[in-house]
Amino acid sequence: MMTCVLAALLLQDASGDAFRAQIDALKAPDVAWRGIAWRTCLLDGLKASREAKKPVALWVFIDRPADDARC
Amino acid sequence: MFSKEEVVRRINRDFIPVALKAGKVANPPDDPEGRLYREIGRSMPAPQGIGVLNSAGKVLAWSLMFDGDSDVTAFFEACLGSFRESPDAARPLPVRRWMSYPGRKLEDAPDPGVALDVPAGHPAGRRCPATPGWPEGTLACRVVGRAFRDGKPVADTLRQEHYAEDRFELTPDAQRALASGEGRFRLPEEVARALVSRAFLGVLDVNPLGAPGGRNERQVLDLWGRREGALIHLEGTSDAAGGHDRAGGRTDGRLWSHEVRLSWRGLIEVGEGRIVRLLAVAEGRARLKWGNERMFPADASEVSRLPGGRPIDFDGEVRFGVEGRPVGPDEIGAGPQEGGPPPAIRRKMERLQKALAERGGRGADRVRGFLERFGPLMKEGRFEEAEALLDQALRSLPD
Repeated sequence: MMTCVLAALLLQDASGDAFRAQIDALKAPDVAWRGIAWRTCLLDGLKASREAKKPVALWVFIDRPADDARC
Repeated sequence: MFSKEEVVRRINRDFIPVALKAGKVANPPDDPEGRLYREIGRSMPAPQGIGVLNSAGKVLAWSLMFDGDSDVTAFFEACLGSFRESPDAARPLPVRRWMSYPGRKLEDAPDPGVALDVPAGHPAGRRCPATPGWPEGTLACRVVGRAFRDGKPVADTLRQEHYAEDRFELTPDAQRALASGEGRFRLPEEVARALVSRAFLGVLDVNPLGAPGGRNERQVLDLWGRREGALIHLEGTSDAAGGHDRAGGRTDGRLWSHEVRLSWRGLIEVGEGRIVRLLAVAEGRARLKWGNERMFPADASEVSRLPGGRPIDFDGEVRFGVEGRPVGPDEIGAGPQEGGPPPAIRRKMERLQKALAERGGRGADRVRGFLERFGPLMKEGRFEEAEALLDQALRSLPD
């Protein structure tokens, strides 16, 4: 029943608000794998390494292209 | 692995985290920054892995996997010791390497013997190789997918069969083809395929429309547009099924099947032959099984089988959302799609890496010989020859 109501709303949705709300509802705000703020620029990472006197933890990966940083 | 609380805490506290795409390490630009990438690639035991660098860009250690959960933090702890010994280019150290830390050690790689030039920034007018640009007018689309149970989203967002995010781009030509539609019309295949090919959960290797080492068995892209002025209402269904491909008798042992059936709705706003915004949702069911006949025991730690993954058996409700917008001014530029290596090379690199891991490193010496010739070919853009070398490397692996 809810699905039918939602479908009817979506069909009438010329502004896109209902679609956007449904997409937003799918997103998980605080996924654990975003707990590490990976830098994607090697030069930027090495500069930070020199300044902070910390080594670089390097992850070379083959994965989905978004920041879907799990393995 | 990077979702474990202790690992996250240690990396954030003691390290500068940097993530690089394997394709960039294998095919770096020909400049000082590219030489840093190349030096990273020189000592890598496989096309992907976890390592530690000092501040001069020199690799201190690599590991592809870890014997157990606690060995991940132990690896990073040991690397802190190496960093204290060699924080910069002043003191050479060999690169310590493991197939799996600490139980399966590989031969050390020698120090490069020279200090690498670390540029202060990218060459004038060049983008960072990690953030390639796109042609003006490209539509950047973000995808979110989620498993549902009893009408509610599954709470777990760690496992990719429960939650995934992805992105894809639609070319200006594909948008133009869509924007020319009038009345009720079938979506151009490039647009329909782009949408459906990203609407799946699980790792990249289980794309039912086409995955490395996979075979598509069914594809129905029955997506339609209905034009109302500047708006196109999207509706229709898709049905995709695929699985492992045994053609030729050589695989890395993967066994999988994946079916995704979806109903789609959406709204696309067009103007001047381009998409101004795209919003789409899809819901339906998916059945996914993933495993490997050479897979480690089911009770082994997930970090001990990183490249091959873990068994997946999912059968349930799934929903997807897609949002598209034109790329912004800071995203426009030359990108990897221009003159880059063919996708088959990336897929074969991935197969090779997984096959090596599943054999516990057996055959690595033979493969290394091929990879030493692979890098220069990629650098010169001789992709066909590079791909042939990868084929030889795959065939050289012991059963």
